[in-house]
Amino acid sequence: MAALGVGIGWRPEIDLTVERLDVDFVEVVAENLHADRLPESVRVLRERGVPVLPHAVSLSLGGADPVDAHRVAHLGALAQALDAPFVSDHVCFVRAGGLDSGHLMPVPRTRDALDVLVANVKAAQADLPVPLALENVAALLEWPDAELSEGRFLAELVERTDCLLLVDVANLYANARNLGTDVGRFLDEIPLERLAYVHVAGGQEHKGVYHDTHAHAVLPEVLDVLRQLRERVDPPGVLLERDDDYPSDAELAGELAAIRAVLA
Amino acid sequence: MTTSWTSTSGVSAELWPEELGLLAGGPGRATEVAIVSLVEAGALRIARNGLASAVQGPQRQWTPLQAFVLRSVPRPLGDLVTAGARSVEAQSLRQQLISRGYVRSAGSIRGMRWVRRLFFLSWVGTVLWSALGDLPVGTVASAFVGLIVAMAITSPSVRPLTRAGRSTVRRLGAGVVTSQAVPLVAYYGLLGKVGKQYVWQILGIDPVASATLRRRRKSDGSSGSASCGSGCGSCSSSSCGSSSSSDSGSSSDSGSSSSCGGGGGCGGGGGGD
Repeated sequence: MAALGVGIGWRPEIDLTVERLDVDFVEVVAENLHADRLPESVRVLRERGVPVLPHAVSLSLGGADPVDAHRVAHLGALAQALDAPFVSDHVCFVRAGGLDSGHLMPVPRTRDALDVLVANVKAAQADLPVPLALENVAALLEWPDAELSEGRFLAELVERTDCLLLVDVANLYANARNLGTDVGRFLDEIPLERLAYVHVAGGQEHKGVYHDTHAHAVLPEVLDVLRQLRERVDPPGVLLERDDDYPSDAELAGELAAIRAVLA
Repeated sequence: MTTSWTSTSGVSAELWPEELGLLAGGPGRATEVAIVSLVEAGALRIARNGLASAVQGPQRQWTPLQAFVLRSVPRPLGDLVTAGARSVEAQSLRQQLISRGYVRSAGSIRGMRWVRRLFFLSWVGTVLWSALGDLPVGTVASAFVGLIVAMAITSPSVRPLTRAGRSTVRRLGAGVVTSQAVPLVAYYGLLGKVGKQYVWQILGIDPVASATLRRRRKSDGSSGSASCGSGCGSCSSSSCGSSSSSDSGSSSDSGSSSSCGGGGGCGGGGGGD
């Protein structure tokens, strides 16, 4: 996997900040961009040679409905417009029965659910011009009767689809804190050689539940999960996600520096 | 008050930059000053597309108009300036300048306009009386001269700014340098021009962001009062030289709004963030 370095999520609100920060790559939310009308800031970054990776949130690959071909086509067109080496989405579903959840809902970790996920991933891959990476999500609940651990579930998904992995250490931390996921076991079970890159984000505890808000500072505990991952593999890239309540440039630069320090 | 005001104004010891902006260009200009000062203080970002948003950080003490701006985001820059110009905070700023003798109240300007209309009607009456043959031509001529003199004497009293206000704006214009964003914006406005460059260009603001700014008619001041017609009225048209500045001879191509391109680029002042 080609090295990406340390990056940040590009968002319109902080476009000039992202341009000023010393980042090696950025990620854009695919649903917010049009392939034929890229924002000026994204064009500037591309002209500088900064890789821009489309990250989708709406393919709903874990859902029972067939994958929406238009969404896949949009993601593919964006990848081509950005000359992206790969694209990504989540191991989740976001709609069912014609309703959108508004959240990334966890998939039951059963063999049946895995079959559905694999079929959808293969369908999406068939229409995408670049490889697809899939991300573990933060969940506030676990479906009953799980047949596989989260790590094994992802490992089998990779084995059957040859997809890449996007490991979100903040999501992993959230699941460890809220659901008791074993971080070490998760990292041992996933095929790290298929790691595309890593997400890092901030969150906050509210009424005893940790929320992966992407609107707060990155906790040292999340960086510790990144450290555990780094002990096992040198990740091709690590990306800081911030989606709201954007702090100063200096604070974001400090968080990027903290990530670099863990990777060093 | 711990803001960037004092460090960047350097123009008037007695007035805050927002007040200077209001004198030079009206409540829209005052809002521009509040926005630019917030960007300079690292409390506000303006994206390339003009979306202004707050920078999260420690709580600080802001002027009422700055606080309004921070409460009103996220919002496109042009809308933010318009909202600020119409805000209670901007009106309060204007009232303070009235009470301190820099701006005339709408009532006093209306009153003086009536006086001037009476002068004119008196002269018209004199002409009609003369036409009936009962008045010598010399009397009509004397009345005309009297009318001219009366109009000249009362002319300053229908302007939005008092002599002190106009003098302050003149001093502001004399001290403006392009490296000081806040006084620059206070005097010219973001859509104003210095030489061949727009102020937003000097401040490094993205053209797309600046395009969200709207030029307003001189009479489009948020107060809607006669006392804010041009000078203290929201000076937003490209030629909005603000009454005060016309007195002062300043060019004041002023705009109604502005932007500070995304943080760091805002005016020589160093990074917005």
